[in-house]
Amino acid sequence: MHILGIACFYHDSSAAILKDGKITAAAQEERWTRKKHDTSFPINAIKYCLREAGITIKEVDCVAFYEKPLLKFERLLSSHIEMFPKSLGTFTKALPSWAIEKLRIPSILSKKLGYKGELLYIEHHMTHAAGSFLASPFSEAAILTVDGVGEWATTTLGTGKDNNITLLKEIHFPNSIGLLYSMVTGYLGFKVNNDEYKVMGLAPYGKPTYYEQMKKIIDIKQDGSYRLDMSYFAFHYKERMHNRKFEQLFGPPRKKEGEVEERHKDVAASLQKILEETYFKMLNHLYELSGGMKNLCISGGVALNSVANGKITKQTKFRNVYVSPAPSDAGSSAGAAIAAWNMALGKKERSRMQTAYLGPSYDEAYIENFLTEKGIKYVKLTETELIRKAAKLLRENNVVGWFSGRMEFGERALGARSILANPCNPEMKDILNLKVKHREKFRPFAPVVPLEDAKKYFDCDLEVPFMSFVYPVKEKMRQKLPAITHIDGTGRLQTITKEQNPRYYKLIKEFEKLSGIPILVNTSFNIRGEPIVMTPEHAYRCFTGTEIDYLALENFLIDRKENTKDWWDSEKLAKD
Amino acid sequence: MIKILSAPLNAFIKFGKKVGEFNSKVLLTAVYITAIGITAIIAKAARKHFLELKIQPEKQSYWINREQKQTTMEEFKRSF
Repeated sequence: MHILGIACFYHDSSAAILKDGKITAAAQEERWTRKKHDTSFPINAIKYCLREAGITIKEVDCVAFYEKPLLKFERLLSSHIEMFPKSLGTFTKALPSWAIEKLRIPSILSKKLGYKGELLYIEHHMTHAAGSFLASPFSEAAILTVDGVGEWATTTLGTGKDNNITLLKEIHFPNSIGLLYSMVTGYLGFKVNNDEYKVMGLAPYGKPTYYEQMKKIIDIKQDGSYRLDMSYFAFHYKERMHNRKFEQLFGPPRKKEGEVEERHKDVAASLQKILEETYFKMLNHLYELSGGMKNLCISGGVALNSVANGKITKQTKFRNVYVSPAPSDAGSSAGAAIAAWNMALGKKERSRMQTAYLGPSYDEAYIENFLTEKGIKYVKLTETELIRKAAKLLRENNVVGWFSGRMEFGERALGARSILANPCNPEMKDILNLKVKHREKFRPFAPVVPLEDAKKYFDCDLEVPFMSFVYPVKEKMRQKLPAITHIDGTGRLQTITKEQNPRYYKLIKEFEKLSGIPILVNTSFNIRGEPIVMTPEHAYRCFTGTEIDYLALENFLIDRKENTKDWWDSEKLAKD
Repeated sequence: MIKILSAPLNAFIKFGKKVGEFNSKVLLTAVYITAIGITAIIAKAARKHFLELKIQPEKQSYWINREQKQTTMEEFKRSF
């Protein structure tokens, strides 16, 4: 039995396919269209999923959609009625897309795919809960979903047992901790629904001196429930997120690409403090509500706040935490398909998402043909030779583009489409930020470490294969690892085992033989504003337009010095 | 010949799109004022609120309890 999950028309469109309850393929549409957070119907991702499953659309038994569009439309109309006449501008702008596509899912499926079969609509926060709990290794767990907004819900608490989920409590739009975070992201001159992680990265540079002002705009109860004072916000009736009253309280907003002042860092720090306060109060309430369950599954865009996630076991009584590789809306296609399988169809077998490597791969023949056709100079090596050579290059402070196996599903590069570098080099952060990624200086880089070595270098208590948790770097190790140690002495960790990605694991171990350190800098293979690369063509284009020194396309090693012709000027194209 | 015609054709398509946008704006503004506006006036007169816009310090909790029932297949098939 095949179930196709689809998420689209808001942000991060994606598709996923389940074969007899097992997830066999999943990917975001942005990787094909090259538009970051692409919202369009994921036709390319769907075609890929069908190809990977070896079927045509006729063999799909059921399509699961990641929200209930009419409920969402009801929320939209309710907002317009409540905010009349202020919301005229957004009404005339938003309504055509509802008439053309958002309310016409069956006809779009029929027109674009020729699909006229069973269509199930899964409540948005249920897709988050299902993509988290039902994909987790736990047989029972407490569940928290937090994002900007679904239909009405912005936050839900629930529990999961075996193949079932019960959502118990929720908070409704416009009260949303996710939208509060996005609003401040916009206020700080970053892009809403895109750059929230930058605010999280900026926060440790500041002091939470705006905490009291923050408390004026959000009322947080002891049980973690909260409400926003909407007189400071504009997102419920305008395209702008905040209003003048907010600026009177916090000062003028930062202009896009403007200088990051101390005040901006302090606002970011205050926001992060408010988020964590709400998060841990909610989680402590959830712990009581669940009857003391020790396992926790979190999902929704806010679950990407890896700084808060890293403190969960210290701030709450939860002992095991699962965050899927795609906790935001990108993962909702998989969540919808899983919910359809377990909850709508009542199947008992669970689809545990133990790997993020669910995207396309390219075989040697394809890559060799591409390289030859384009006249690119390369060396073909065996896997062992490549690993030895790449480790040596990394030890010599070269930046290596690492393209290997199936692409990751979700927001993170986890060793399939990664840029790797030496974490011991104090200059490496600047080299990567300015020469390769063309991004802001304040942003940190993430480390990858074999699971068995993680505790030697980090104060961590969980296995973190999907890079969803930030942990302190051990104090005595910080000087040895300047490229991955953030200003507050932390790092957003990925642990790796031989089973999860043997090739990647071997490379890190080989690097350890040369440097004594079993850690690499791992950053996504893209430049700022571009989706992560998917094909060898994307990878080579990014490689030539940046100052990446070597590119490993599977077992083909390409030296930048021998291929000096740039395909594009990535610095000019780097944008948010 | 095709090259000569393509420029005015593109301009005509552009013009058509602009007219379409303008028309839909006018129509939607009319819908907004009549349908949304009248409903909003009635709702305000009846003191009915669709969104919670203010904090309530006296409240103990803002959580909304969800109705607990088994979702049926028919409900999964509904877009609401």
